[in-house]
Amino acid sequence: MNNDASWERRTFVALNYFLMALVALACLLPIVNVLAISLSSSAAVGSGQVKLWPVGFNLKSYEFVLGKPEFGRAFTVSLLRVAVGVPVNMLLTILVAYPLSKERKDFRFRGPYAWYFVVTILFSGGLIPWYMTIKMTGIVDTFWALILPGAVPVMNVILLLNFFKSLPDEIEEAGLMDGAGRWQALWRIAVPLSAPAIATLTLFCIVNHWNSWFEGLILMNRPEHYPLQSYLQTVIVNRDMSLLSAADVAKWSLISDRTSRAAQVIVALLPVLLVYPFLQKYFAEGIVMGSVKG
Amino acid sequence: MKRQRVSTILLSLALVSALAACSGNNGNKADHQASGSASASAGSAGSAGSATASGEEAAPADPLGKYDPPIEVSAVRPISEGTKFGEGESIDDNVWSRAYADQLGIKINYLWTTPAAQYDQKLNIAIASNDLPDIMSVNAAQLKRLVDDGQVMDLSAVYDQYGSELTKKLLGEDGGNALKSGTFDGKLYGFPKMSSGLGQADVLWVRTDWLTKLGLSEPKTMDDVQKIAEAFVKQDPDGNGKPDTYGLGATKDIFGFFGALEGFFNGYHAYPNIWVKTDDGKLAYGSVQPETKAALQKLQEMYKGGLIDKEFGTKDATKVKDAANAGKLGLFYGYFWNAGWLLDGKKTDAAMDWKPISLPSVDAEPAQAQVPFAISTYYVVKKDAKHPEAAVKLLNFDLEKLWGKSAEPEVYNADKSGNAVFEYALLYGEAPRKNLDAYLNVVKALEANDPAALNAEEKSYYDKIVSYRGGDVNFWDSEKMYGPEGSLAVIEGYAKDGAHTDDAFYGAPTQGMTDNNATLGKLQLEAFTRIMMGGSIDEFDQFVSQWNSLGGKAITDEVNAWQASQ
Repeated sequence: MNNDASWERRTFVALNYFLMALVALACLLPIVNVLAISLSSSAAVGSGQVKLWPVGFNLKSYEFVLGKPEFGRAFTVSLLRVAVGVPVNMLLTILVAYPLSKERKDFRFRGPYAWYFVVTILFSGGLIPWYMTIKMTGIVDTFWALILPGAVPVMNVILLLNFFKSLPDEIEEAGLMDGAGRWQALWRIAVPLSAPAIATLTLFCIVNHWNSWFEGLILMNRPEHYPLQSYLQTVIVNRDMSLLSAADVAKWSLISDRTSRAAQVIVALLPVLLVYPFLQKYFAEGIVMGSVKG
Repeated sequence: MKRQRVSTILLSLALVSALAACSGNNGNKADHQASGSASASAGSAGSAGSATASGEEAAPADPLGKYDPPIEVSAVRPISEGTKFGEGESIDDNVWSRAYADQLGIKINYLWTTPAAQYDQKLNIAIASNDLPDIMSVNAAQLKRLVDDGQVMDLSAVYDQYGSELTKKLLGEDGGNALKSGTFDGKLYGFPKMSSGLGQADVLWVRTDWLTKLGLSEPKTMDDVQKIAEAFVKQDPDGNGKPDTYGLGATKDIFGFFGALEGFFNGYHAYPNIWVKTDDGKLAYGSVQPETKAALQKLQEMYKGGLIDKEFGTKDATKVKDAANAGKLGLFYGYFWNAGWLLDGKKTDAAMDWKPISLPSVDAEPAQAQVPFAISTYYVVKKDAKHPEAAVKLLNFDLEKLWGKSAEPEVYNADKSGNAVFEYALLYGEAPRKNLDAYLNVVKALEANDPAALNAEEKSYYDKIVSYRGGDVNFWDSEKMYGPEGSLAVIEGYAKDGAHTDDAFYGAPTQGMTDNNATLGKLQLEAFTRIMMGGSIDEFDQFVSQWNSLGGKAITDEVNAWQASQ
C-alpha cells in the first residue's frame, strides 16, 4: 500500500466512477423526464418537445390529479395498507424467524418447520388455485385481501433468521441465565440487537405493499377499492389496441393526458422517496450482515 | 459447518425465487392457465349454419315486457376509462340502471367491475374458476372457450322469441356475418356487440401546407407517394435548413391504427393480416401472398433511400404521433380519427394543415382498403342462468333507447353536462354506419346552415365544426373527420364505390389460431421488419414456407373448411 496510487489504480477508479455515474444517470433520467412532462403543457408534450426540462411550465396536472377523487381514494387505501400491512408483516416475520434461528437441540422440529416455509418459495399453487383459496375464505373485495394472503413474507423470514443466527449466542445465554424467558429474550435482546435488519426489512415491506398492484386488480371487485398502484396501472399501462372496438379507439383518441399521468406517477413516488433516506443507512448493513455469518 | 451449508442453500434459494417472482408477476399466468383449460375437441371449424336449430316455435313474447315481480340478474363488466358519473351516481345507480328497474323490472347486480384494460385478465380468472355471472361480455377466444367447455347457454330460442325488430335489424345489418360469428353448430351463443369495420380502414394523411410549399400535388399513385416522401425528406419542408424530417411514417408494429402500413400494402393490392378470396374461390391469408412481397420490396427500397425513419423499428404509434405534431412528419397512413391525435400539432403551429386522402394505387386498378372483421365483443349468458331472456330484453331496451324510434339521446346517450351516459348501459352496439351517417347528415346541415334534423351526437359535431370555422382551433379535428373534406368522406367513398376488401373469415378463432397465432404473428413481424430494413427479399419466400409449416397451413385448411360449411 502506498499513498501515491499508481496510474493503473487511478484509471481504474476514474473509470469506475464514470461507469457508476452512467448507471446512476440511467436510473435517474427517466424520472427526471417524467417530472418534466408532469410540469409541462400538454401541447408541448403531445408534440414531443419535452426532454429533461419542462416546456410551458404549469401545475395544472397536479391540480387535476390532487382534485381527482379516484386518486385520493386509492392513495388512502394504499396508506392504510402500509399502516396495517407492514406491522402485520414484521410481527409475523419476527415470530417465525426467531425459533427457526435456533439450533436443533433447542428446537427439535426446526428442519420440518423450515421446509414448511421454504416450500412456498419453491412452489406456488398457481394463480387460479390461489384466487380460489382466497375467494373461499371470503375476504375477496375486502381490505384484508390486501393484507392476509401475503402476511408472512418468507424471503424476509430467511433474511432475518440469518441475522438472528449471527448474533453472539453468549448474550442471549447470559439473559436466559439471569432468568429471562424465551419471550423476553426475543423482545429484549434479539430484536433490539437486530435493529439494522429489522429496519431494512421494514423498508422492504413498505415498498412491497406500496408497489404491488396485481392483488388489488384480481382480488378487488370494484375500482373504488383499488390501492394506488392498481389504480395507476389502469391509468398508465399501454392499452392493447387490438382488443378495443373502433368506437373505443376513437374515444381514446380524444384523450391527451400524458401530463396528468406523469403527475400521478410523481405523486405516487413521493411517500417512498420520503421514507427511504431515513432507513437507507441501515440498508446495506442489514442485508450484508445477515448473509456472511455462517 | 452444517449450519453454514444450510444457510448457503437457503440464501441461494432465496435468490432464485426472487428471480422467479420477477418473471412471474406480470399476469401472463392468467392467460396461460386459462387457455390450457380450453378443450381441444370442439367442432371448431364446424357447421355454423344460418338456420337456427331451435325447433319449438314459441309465441312471440313482448320484447320489452316488464317483469312483475322484478327479477335480479348478476353481471360483470368493464368500465371504460374516463367514464364519469353524475353527482351521487354510480354504476349501480344511474339513469340506465333506474330505467332497467322501472321499465323492465330488472335489477342488475354487478359481481365485479374493472377498468376496461384489466377486464380480460379478470374475466379469464373467473372463467377458469367457473365463477361466472348471468350476463357478461367476452372476446372471440373467450366465447369459443366458454362454448367448448359448456359454460354458456344456447340463446337461439330466446333470441327468436324475444328479440325486437330493431335488435334483429341492427344485429343483421352487416348481412348476418356478425350473428354467424357468434353461432356454433347452428346454435347462437353470443350476441355480437355491433360496430363498424370501415372505421378501421386506412386513409392517407398528408400535410397539404408542405405540398403547397414544395409545389407538389396530392398523391394519386404509389409513385406519387414515394415522390412526396422523398421531397419531404430532401427538400426541407419545414424550412429550418436541417435535414430533420421523415418521409413516410411507420411504427415498430408495422400494422396498426396510426402510422400503420396496411394502406400502403393495399396500394399494391396486398391485404396482410386478413383472409381474402383467391381466384379459385378458396380463402388465403393475405400476408403470404405475392402482392405482399411486392409491397415489402418497395418499402425496403424506400427505407434504403432514407424515406422511412431509420429507427422505425423502435417507435410505437405515440412516438410517430409526436414526430407529426413536432412538424417532422407529413405523410402517414392511419384511421379516420387520427385527426384527434394531430390536434396538439395544429395548436402549436397554426400553419400546419392535414388532409385525409383515399388510398393511392400502384396501377390503374383502384386500391381497395382492407377492413377487418368488426365484431370483437360478444354478450353471453351463463349456462344455468334463470332468466336468459332478460339478456335479450336488456339488449332490446338498450338499442331501442339509443337508436330506436323512442330514442332519447339527451337522456340515454349524453347528458347535459356531457357525460357519456351510454357507457352505463350493460349491453351496447351501434349501427355499423353510424359515423358515416353522421358525416353525411352533418355535411348536409352545414350546407343548409340548419342543424334541426341532427340527433344530439351529430349536433355536437356540427357545433364543433361551426366554432372551428369561427376561429376556434380546438375543434379543428372535427372538421377533419366530419367535415366535407374529412376522413369520413374518404371512407364513405370506399363504401360507395365498393373500394374495400373485407376480412373473409369471421368465424370463431379456430384451434390452430388459438395454438399458433402468437407464434405466427411474431414470425411475420420479424420477417417483415428484417426485409424492410434491408434483408434479402428472398426471405419472404422463406417466411411463407415457415409460416405454412408452423401451423399456417393447418389454419388455412381450417378456414377453408369453415368457408365450405357456410
